[in-house]
Amino acid sequence: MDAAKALGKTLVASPERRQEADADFEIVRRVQAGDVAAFDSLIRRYRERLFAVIYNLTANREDAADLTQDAFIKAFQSIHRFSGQSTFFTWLYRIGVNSTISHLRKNRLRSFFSLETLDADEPVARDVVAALTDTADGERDAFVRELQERLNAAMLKLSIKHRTVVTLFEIDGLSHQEIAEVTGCSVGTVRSRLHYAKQLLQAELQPYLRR
Amino acid sequence: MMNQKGQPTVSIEDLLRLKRAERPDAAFWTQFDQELRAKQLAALVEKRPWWTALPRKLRSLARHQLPLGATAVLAITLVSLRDYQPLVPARRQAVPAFDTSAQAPAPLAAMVAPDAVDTADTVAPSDVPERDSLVPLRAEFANSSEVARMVPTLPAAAGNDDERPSARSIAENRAVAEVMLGTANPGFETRAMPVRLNPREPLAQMSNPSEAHRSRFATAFAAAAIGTSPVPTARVARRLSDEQLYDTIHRFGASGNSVSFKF
Repeated sequence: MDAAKALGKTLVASPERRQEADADFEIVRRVQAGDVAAFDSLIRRYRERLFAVIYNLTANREDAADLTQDAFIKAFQSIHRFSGQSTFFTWLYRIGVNSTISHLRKNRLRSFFSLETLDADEPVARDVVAALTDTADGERDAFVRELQERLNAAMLKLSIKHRTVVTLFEIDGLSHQEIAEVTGCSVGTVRSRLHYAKQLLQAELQPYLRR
Repeated sequence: MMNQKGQPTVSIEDLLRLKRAERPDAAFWTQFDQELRAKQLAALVEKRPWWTALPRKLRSLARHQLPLGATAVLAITLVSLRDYQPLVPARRQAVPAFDTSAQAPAPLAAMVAPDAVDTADTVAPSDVPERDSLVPLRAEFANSSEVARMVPTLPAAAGNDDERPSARSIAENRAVAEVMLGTANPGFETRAMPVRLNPREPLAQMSNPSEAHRSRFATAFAAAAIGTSPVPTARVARRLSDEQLYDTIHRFGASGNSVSFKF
């Protein structure tokens, strides 16, 4: 039963997200009516998630910050064009992802990587690190750093399209349908890209997997 | 998650979830908000180019596309009909009739050059006799100061020059230019029709070819009869009929594939 729920969640948006979308639409209506300050609440709600997506696509902190800000500026300038046919965050993600893809294509040869510090209090991160290491805290930090770099390198070996799908699904937790709306391709294409990208990542990160 | 040996398992999804835990600190978000605020203000102040608003304006006009399109088609049709003028077949022959290049200075020669002739203001050579036709002036020239500067520089016709056709046409053009410049009205319609002076029927100007032949024949006959006969050449010319004049021509005939000679 849980597996079926999880599968359904991967395919379509969750009810919580629909409620969020309704609330977003109300705020967008206020901004369109002239309440410019209401846009700040949208920024506060989505800045961290959008930054995380762009950061995992670019692997650069400064670029990610600039691109996230630009995405919000573009969304603010084009808010009158938003008609509510899609959810606001899907629309915002589309702006951010398209800007990031353009940026990556322009700066294909330039690569400055920067890593954020891993939040050790995150439950998932704590469990994964505990499962992978049984050493002292000092060595564990070095191991986590190395794992971050290997993860980063493996992600950057993926093409931009595959990296986008993996980032939106595995890191941000969007459904296949939402990813299809953001990337502008079909759900089948999303699943295909996701499967191919995971195969490549598995091959790259084989030493860190425990079965 | 544990495997069959009781050891924790780590999948690729677990490793990727580690990326979720990579988060910037609070100071980063403070700076982020400040930069975003500055960019927002700059975007508000910055004047966007006009073409960014074009799609929105076109979309607002889309609901009126049928009446707007019909109006545009009607306007284009009206303008086309208004400016339509059939091409004159031999318009280039209208201007070379004036030999102004010999007397007029260079600016006038350039003004009456065939390329400068506006078709709408040109009078066909078949409509107006050659010696009475006018140099077609373009309305732009007629209203501009250029013509006013050029026209007084024309050489003044004097003595025997008045009788030459080129001198007459220059004088007529000068009169037309003075009339047009004197009554120039800077209103909506700037074009002026060329004024015809002393229009004459084309047939009235043509001379009878038999007359010319008769006089030529009489002259030749008089030259041949000097000292032998005192008959005046005028009487000889009167006695010659058209039949006799063209008799020599009638001796040669051509019809179909055959040529005939009469002796």
